Formats: sequence, C-alpha cells, structure tokens
Amino acid sequence: MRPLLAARLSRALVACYPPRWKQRYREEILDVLDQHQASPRTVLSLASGAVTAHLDPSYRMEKPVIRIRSDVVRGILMIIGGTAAVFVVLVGLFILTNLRGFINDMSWHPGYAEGDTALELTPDQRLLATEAGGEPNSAVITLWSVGRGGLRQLSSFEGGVTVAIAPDDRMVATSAFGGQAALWSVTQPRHPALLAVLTAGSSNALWGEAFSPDSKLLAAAYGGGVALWDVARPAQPRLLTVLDAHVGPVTHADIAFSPDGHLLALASGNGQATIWNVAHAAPVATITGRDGYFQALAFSPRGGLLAGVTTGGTVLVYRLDGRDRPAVTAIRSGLAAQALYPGGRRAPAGLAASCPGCMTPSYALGFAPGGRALTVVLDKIFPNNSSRDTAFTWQVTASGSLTGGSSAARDTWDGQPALAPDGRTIVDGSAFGRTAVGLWELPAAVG
Amino acid sequence: VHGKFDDLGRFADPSVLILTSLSDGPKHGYAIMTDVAAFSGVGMEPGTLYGALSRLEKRGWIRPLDTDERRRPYQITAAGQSVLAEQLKTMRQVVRVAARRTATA
Repeated sequence: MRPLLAARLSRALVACYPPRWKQRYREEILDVLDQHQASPRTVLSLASGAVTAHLDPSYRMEKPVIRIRSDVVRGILMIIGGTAAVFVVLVGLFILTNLRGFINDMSWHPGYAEGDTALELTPDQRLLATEAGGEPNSAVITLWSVGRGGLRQLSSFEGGVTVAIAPDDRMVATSAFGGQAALWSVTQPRHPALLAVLTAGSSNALWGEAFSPDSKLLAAAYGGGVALWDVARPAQPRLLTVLDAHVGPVTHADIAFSPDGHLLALASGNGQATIWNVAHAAPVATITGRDGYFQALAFSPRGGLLAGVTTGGTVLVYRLDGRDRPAVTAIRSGLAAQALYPGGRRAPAGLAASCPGCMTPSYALGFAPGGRALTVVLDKIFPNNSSRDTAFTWQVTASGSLTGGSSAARDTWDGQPALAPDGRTIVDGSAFGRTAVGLWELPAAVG
Repeated sequence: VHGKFDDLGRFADPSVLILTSLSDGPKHGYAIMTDVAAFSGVGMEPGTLYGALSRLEKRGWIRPLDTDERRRPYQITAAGQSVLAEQLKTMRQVVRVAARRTATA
C-alpha cells in the first residue's frame, strides 16, 4: 500500500470512531497522523481501535435509538455488530487497495502471444497501443483504454512488429519485416480500420515508426535511414522524402521528434544518432554515444537538449546549439550495474555484480513535462526471466547538466518498458512466455 | 480508580510502555510514540496508542493537561505510578526466574 493511500485511509478511519470519542481525541490523533508515516499497520490499528471504541459502553450515544434492557441480548448484538464492522472494514480496505492498485500500481493483463512487445501511450495517457507477437507478419496489436478502472482492452488486430500511436489519438502505425508500414484509423478504438499501406520503396525491414507532435508526419526507420510520409490526410499518405545521409546500419529503431516537430533524431547501429531538420530534409548534427548504441532518445520539451541512453547503460545529454557535433553536457554511466541493487537491496544469492546470464536491459527515457527532470527506465532481466524495472531520475539544469539523482525500483515481468509523456508513469510489457502489460507510477519525489 | 493491571488484557504491553514513557515527565501523543520507539524499539501505531491512552485515562492512571493546542500532553498520576511500580515488580520477578531457569537449562 502506498504511504499516501495509507494516510488517507487513516484519516478516513478516524471519522469512523464514535462521536464522543472523536469529541475528545479527534484533534490529537489527527495531529499524530500529521507527523506519523502511515502504513498498512496504521490503518489496521485505527480500524481495530474504531471497532473497540464502538464496543466501549462509555462512548455509546447518550440517548440510544433502541433501549435494550437484557445484557445477554446486548452482548450478542455487540458481538454481531463488531464482527460485521471488522468485516466491512476489511472488505473496504481490500477494495480500496486493489482499486488504487489498478491506477498507480502495476496491473497486469494477459495479452495475446509471446514475443517482443512494443508499447506507446498517447500524450493524454488515455489510449495505449501494445504489440505482441513472435511471427514476423502476424503480430497482434492491442488497443487499451487507460483510466480509473485500470487497463481495459478495446480491440486487437493483426498488424506488424512495431507500433506507434499518433498524439491526436486518431491513428496507429504498424510495420512488418517486409518493409511495409500500415496506417490504421483508431478514431473508433473498438473498431480499428486499415487506412493505407505505406511502402518506402525498400525491401528492408522497417524497425519502428514515430508520429510528429502534430500527427501530420509519420517517420519510419528502415535499414538505411528514415522514410517520411505526410499523413495529414490519413487515407492518402504521401511519401515526402527519405533521410539517409550519414546513417549507419539501422538495426533497431528509436526515432524522436523534437516537441516543435522541426527536428528528428534517429539512432543507428554504429553508435551514432543523426539529427535532421525535417523541413529541409537535411542533417544538422550527429551525436556519438559510448558503451554501445543508443537504445532510446528524447528531446527536452523546449528542444534545446537531446538525451540518449545506450545499450551499455550510459545516459548522455547534448546541448543542441547549432553545431555539427553538439557538446555533451552530462554523462551518467553504469546504470545496468546499479540497477542490480535497487534501494540498496542485496544481490540475489549466487548472482555476481556482472550478472552472468542476464539479458541486455531494455531502456526508455524521457524528460518531465517542464523539462527540469530526466528519467531513465531500465528493465533488467535476470537469468530466471524475472525482471526488475529501475527508474533513475535527475534534475536537469538550464545548461543541460544533471544534478541530484534518485531511483525507484519495481519487480516486474520480463519486458520492454516505456515512459509515459508525464515522465512518471511507466508501462511495461512482458516479452517472454507470459505476455502481459502493466502500469506503475513513480513517487512524486522521484518523478 | 486504582485497578488491577491484569484487567487490561492485551493492552497491558502498550500501557506499560506509555506509563514508562510518562515517568520522566508529561508528553503528547506523538512524543510518546517516538520515546517508546527509542527506548523499547516498539513501533506503536496511533490506533493502539490512543486505545491505550483512553483506557489509562479512564482508570485514572494518566491525566490530560490543559492546553489550547491540538497536541495535548499527558501526565502520569500517583495511581499510575504505583500500578507501574507493581507491574515492574512482577516483570523483575519474571526476569529473575527466567534468568535462573535459562541459566540451568
């Protein structure tokens, strides 16, 4: 149970004490609760205290509604009433903690098939698209609504191996290894409709797509660069250009648009990421990582910084100041090793610091909406396929350096994490054997 | 007013801790919790604390001091002191017997 929830429940339970008890102790106990870190034990102690106080004759109402003269009958009624009260409190606690769990905690939902999972949330975080599937051309795309009731499956359809959802909630793009991308209308998310099939004129595999912030452009990464389509009229998409200058072999994809949509960054397998001016279709800068290649990239909300995280667990922040080779303003490395011991926990028995047999972690990163914090999520998968998400958050200064640093960790299922646009909600999908998707939220202090 | 400690049943333990805490001067609820945690390692929860406080107050073993603030200090009474002394005597006896028996075991 989260401390905030426990604190709220505790205060609600104080209201359940008998009126005469509250008259005497209410202010005092609320004062104690103001200073005390509430926990499930606090909630239970107050629930049991409230029941006991109700059973105490000295706190009973002065003028009872029904006057019961027999002590035996009164005793029986008190026992029945007390048991019922405890039962109601326990059921209430169970419902409240579980309802809350659907929103802020992980809620796992069975998916469809085994295989890699890609996930993306819309900016309003109300629609989630996930991909799961092992077969190259028959992976299943699932649309979910995200709300107070948790994740609700809206529809699913055979799409491709990657998925991107347009910021305006109206389109989903998928791609298959055949080099084709497909555009789907999801204006009626329960009934997705195929709008168009996009071909980049290449038989290369498409590795991933991204919509521009205004949802008018679709970028798709293929083996040699990025194909850019105008999808302002979704039923008639138009290939605008192919950006392939200065690009190494593209073996995976992370494409990021700057918030104003003017710049586009693509990571390639040679460890570099290329940044283009979208309107001029011209490369403007190249950044080089260390420790492997960039697995995820993100522009800061004002567009002045570009952050990337590499497969080796190094976070780099670059200041985009018009130069070909933007200056590095911050480096944090060794995240994968730190992620083994979240919260200072000891390593699982028999697991060395290097984590033999662990899979290469999956990463996601993003800036907080105001741009003052950067969060990297790392999903470390242990040899037994158990997995742990660790989120590292730093404060970002105006000059682009990182200060402070905190982390939060959560055991999850093996999978691919994604960071929602709020910079705090983490979506994680399972990749092996138990396909599922879930949400968890970073504490306010971290996010 | 002066009753047997055994009457408190399962509240005996928090009550001893609270009376011990108040033995060196009046304290309010949260101060009792932190003091008890410091000298005994017992993390008392607010529901348990106020359950015990209300019983101790009703038996006249502690009394609330007048204050205008939200946090009201409690003071141990003479009756409370004598009950605590009695209880500690029993506990010392238990400790003595336990020490002897575990030493010979």
